[in-house]
Amino acid sequence: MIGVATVLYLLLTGRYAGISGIMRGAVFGDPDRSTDVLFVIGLLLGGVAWRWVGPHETARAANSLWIAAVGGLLVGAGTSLGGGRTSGHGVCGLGRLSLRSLVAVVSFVAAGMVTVYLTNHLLWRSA
Amino acid sequence: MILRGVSALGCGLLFGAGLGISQMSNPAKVIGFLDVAGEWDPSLLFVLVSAVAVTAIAFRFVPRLPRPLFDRAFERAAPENINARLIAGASLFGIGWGLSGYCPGPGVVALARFAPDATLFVGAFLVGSWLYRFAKNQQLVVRSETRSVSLGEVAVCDRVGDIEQKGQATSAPF
Repeated sequence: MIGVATVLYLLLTGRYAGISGIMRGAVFGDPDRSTDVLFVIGLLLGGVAWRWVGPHETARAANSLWIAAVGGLLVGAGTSLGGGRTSGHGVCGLGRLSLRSLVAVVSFVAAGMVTVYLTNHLLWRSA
Repeated sequence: MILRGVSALGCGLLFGAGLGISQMSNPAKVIGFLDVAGEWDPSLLFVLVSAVAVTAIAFRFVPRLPRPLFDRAFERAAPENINARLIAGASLFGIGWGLSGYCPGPGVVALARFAPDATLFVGAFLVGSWLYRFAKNQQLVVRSETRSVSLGEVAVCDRVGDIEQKGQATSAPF
């Protein structure tokens, strides 16, 4: 579904569906940001629709709130610095067989794994 | 114009529902995927692989069309620069991902279930992005697509609270 949505977005609007870039576009605004805004609204509605009809596995927050906030800061700065992330590099970039995106994906998965290893196994026991 | 808007809305909806169903918007699931030393849960790998399988095929053909259905031209993909900036950005993202269990899209999807951590995450994501923009506009950060930034400068950018002038940053003892 994620792949299909990405392809449709390119086919219909000519844009690559990198979420972090879309969200920045929607909030900080280029002159023509209606497409970005509508995509983000669609994302939200997708979440609502899934809550409505879908199976309700209990999603739970993995860590405490302030950690989520710090994580958000790093994700925001990191995606700005490196030019996109999971959907941009992962789904679109790998789909284009881009070496640059492969390097990025390997970097962020590795960094994520190291972080989880540190937090869950060394710093404090996972809840 | 209207059709393009409807397309964007529909694609967002499909994308969001896909993230929800695949549990990408469940931080515990994401942390489980990253937790190779614990009870590793590789299922999200299949999510990524199947999404890439679809795009890998379609992206060979779609950009060859003269134009997208509802717009004038296809967006150009980013140039293939592999530099310290890319890796540093990806690593920062990875650390944030590992800490919070969210990336931007799933964070927005999780807003729909009124998760307080997702709300904070999305807010902090925007603050982090804004800080970067601000720093860039103030020319505190070296922004050059052709030249790689040194890791020292990146480390300064990392501590967004005390960004220094570029000149000081390069001479700072790292």
